[in-house]
Amino acid sequence: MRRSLAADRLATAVLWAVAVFVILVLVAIIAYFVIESIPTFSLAFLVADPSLTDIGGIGPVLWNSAYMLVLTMLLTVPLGVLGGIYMAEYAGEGWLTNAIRFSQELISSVPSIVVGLFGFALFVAATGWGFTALGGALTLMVFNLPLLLRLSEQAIRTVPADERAASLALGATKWQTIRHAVLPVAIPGVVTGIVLTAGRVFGEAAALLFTAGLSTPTRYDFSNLNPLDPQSPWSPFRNATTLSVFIWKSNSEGLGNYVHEVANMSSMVLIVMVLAFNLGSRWLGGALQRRVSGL
Amino acid sequence: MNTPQGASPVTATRPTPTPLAIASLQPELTGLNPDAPVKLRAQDVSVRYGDRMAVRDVTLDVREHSVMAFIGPSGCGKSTVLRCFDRMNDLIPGAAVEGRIELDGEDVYAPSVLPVEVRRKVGLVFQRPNPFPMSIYENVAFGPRRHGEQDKARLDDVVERALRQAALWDEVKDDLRKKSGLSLSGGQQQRLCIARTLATDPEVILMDEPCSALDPIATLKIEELIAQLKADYTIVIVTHNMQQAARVSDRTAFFTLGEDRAGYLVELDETLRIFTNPANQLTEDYVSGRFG
Amino acid sequence: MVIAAVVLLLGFIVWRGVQLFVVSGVPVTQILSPTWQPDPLSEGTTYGLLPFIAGTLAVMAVAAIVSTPLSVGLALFMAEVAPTWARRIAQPAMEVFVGIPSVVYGWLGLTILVPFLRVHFGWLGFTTGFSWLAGSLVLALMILPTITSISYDAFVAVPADMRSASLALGTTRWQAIRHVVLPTAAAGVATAIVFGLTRAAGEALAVQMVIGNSPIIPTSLARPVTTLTSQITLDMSDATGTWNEALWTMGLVLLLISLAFVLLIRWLGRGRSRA
Ligand SMILES: Nc1ncnc2c1ncn2[C@@H]1O[C@H](COP(=O)(O)OP(=O)(O)OP(=O)(O)O)[C@@H](O)[C@H]1O
Ligand SMILES: [Mg+2]
Repeated sequence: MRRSLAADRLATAVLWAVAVFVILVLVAIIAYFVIESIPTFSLAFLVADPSLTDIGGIGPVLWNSAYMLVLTMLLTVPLGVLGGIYMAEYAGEGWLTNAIRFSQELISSVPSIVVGLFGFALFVAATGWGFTALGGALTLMVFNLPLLLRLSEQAIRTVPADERAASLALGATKWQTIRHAVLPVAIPGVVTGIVLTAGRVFGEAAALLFTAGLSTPTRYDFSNLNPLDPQSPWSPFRNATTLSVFIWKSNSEGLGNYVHEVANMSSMVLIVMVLAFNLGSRWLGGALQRRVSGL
Repeated sequence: MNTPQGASPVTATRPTPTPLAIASLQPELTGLNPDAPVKLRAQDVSVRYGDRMAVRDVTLDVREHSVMAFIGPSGCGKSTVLRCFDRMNDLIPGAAVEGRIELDGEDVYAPSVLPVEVRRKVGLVFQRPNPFPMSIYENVAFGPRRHGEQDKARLDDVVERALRQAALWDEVKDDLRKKSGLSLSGGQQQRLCIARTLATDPEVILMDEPCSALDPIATLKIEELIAQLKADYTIVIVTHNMQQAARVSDRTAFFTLGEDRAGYLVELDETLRIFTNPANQLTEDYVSGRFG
Repeated sequence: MVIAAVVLLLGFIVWRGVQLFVVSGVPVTQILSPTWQPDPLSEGTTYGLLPFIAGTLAVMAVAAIVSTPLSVGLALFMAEVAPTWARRIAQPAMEVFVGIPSVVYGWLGLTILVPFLRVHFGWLGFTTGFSWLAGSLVLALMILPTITSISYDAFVAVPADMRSASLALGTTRWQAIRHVVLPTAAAGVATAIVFGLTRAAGEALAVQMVIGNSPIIPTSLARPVTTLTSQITLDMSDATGTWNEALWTMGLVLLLISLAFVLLIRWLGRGRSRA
């Protein structure tokens, strides 16, 4: 009796200690970046060009991250959401569905560097495009699509069966039911899924090394609107080093005297972005939820 | 008829109850012993969940080696009061117990008393059978093992005795270790849970609607079991089945919901009286089926 | 479409992965050699992948050994012990943890952990700080939220009345956790660990940044080693010919490792749904 009580107290203390330790580590990581960044950080850093002699900035790579994000999501969202609808509403329990699920699991566990290899061979070498934003986006799609597919399928599946039954009972066709009864209710979940998927685009680096490229862009001319000109920042057929890749690169190559400061500030920006995506997806999902249920 | 506590000959000679036995119950056959010491006592007990008062001002006592039944409409706080006796309300966030609960005259909620100690003396059988996902043997041996029993022969002994007491032994003795507790039927599972409680050797057994998930045959088995257990244990049983209350209990407490939606104790008396000649109109309406 | 992509991806990696043997005629057994000498300019090339495979497994294993107690402990804390306010802190914290990109962990490892090991544990053999241990610690941090969240789900899935049943028998909370919750959730926790391993085996950049990248069989936690992923990362851009083919073979090996993990997870999952 006394021993089991002592064990209980000890275990409780250990579990508390573990939790406090882990949370402290997390806080320390974030605090480290914030503290290291404060002395050198300015808003100009976000838009300026990288420089070899000065702190410079991350304008172009930040732009590339945003660009890759939009491009990837343009490719992923329609397919992912439609696929999710199919999986939730039309797919039965056949071997095909099983195969799709197994494929999803498999692809979500394939290392991103292997996906990067695959993208390199297919979208860089085989197409002859070289390192391009489009190649990177297509590569990212390889694992973002199954992810979004799963998240939107889950969101649609959570719509209660009575909502469906009510609509079908009124004589609506299956598609009308999905369009007017199911989707509006599922939208918050789907949006959360989209934003979570988008957050991963920001953080991913391994799959982009050999697909979107590694070169450091120096200056972008935003007035060059020709989407096929590889010099134009608007073109999908150009090198597009993203922020994550940029941080990785600063360890191997070095950009000049301020590698350290630049990488620290870039990390902070990256963390803030990813956090914003996580919080944003919660907030947006919640806000939409209220709208939908208010209607 | 005033036998001292211990094996009560009155219980032993009691005929097997049948559903229609209510009217034929004789006071001298109820096994009620007014001189037996008070085992459990609730004094002005109120329980709230958060802001909401669930049950208020309950005062009652349960004598040793007797069976007390709690009856009343759904939501009137029977389970809540029951859970006070073994401090299971501690586990519900926001639950607050006021008043005094005594076990053998000692305050169960005193700061020096550990819930773990109380729960060893006061076993609880849940409304829904909840065996562990382990073998039948491990289910029954769980309590004794946790309380430090390691000797194999003694454990075997405890398991067999508990299963025999719970009238399950013959049905499961051949695959005690092979079969999972979850693979039993609902009625068998409930008896397994009772055996599991008995194996920890409590002094009091609380049962929260132990038969609500069971068929009439399994129910009858459990009722017979209660009649036997009374010789060694003090029992409080919650039930929605009036006839069951009438068959198994010595005294019955009737709770209902007040105007403020909080439950309260309306009447507590000998079971026979509650069912034949209650003092309160509400009780009469309830037991005669005019209410709830 | 998804299936097509997967089949294409698998087929492609397998096809490129066997080029080393088919086209360049490197004997299959040679990849089990401990010697990695891919440079065509040196005399006698040997494409031994053993250092990479061993390195991947070693780094992954130590990461899991470090991470599992912490993450399972944290999951237990959140599921069983934490008061509401603490849970309200821990849960979003885990999401933040998941969200931090791997290059950031790598950068942290490079600028804090590696110098720390060099300065304070140099006497233990951490001459440069780049080491097996550094790689494993960075990975441990990265897989922590993965293992935590999946095992948390497993603990929460244990029905509440199992716990009440145990407590009602007069056990302490720890006894209920130890003898009811943990065994019931065991398959889920195992799945969580395998998920963590999968992530650890596939992580490239963060590990590459701190591990030192020497193609030797790991023997000491203090020495630099290398992994499949980090070698691919380093060499892909300038390796050609047979060397390049060997990198694809590494990709294939990685793929097989993750395939094995997926099958393991499925198998664990089936055991659970049967119970
Ligand atoms: N865990 C809980 N948290 C909050 N409120 C609770 C909880 N358990 C019970 N209550 C409330 O306390 C009141 C009494 O509940 P209790 O379960 O004791 O009723 P009961 O008499 O056992 O009902 P039944 O016959 O349906 O089992 C109810 O209004 C219920 O809503
Ligand atoms: Mg109840």
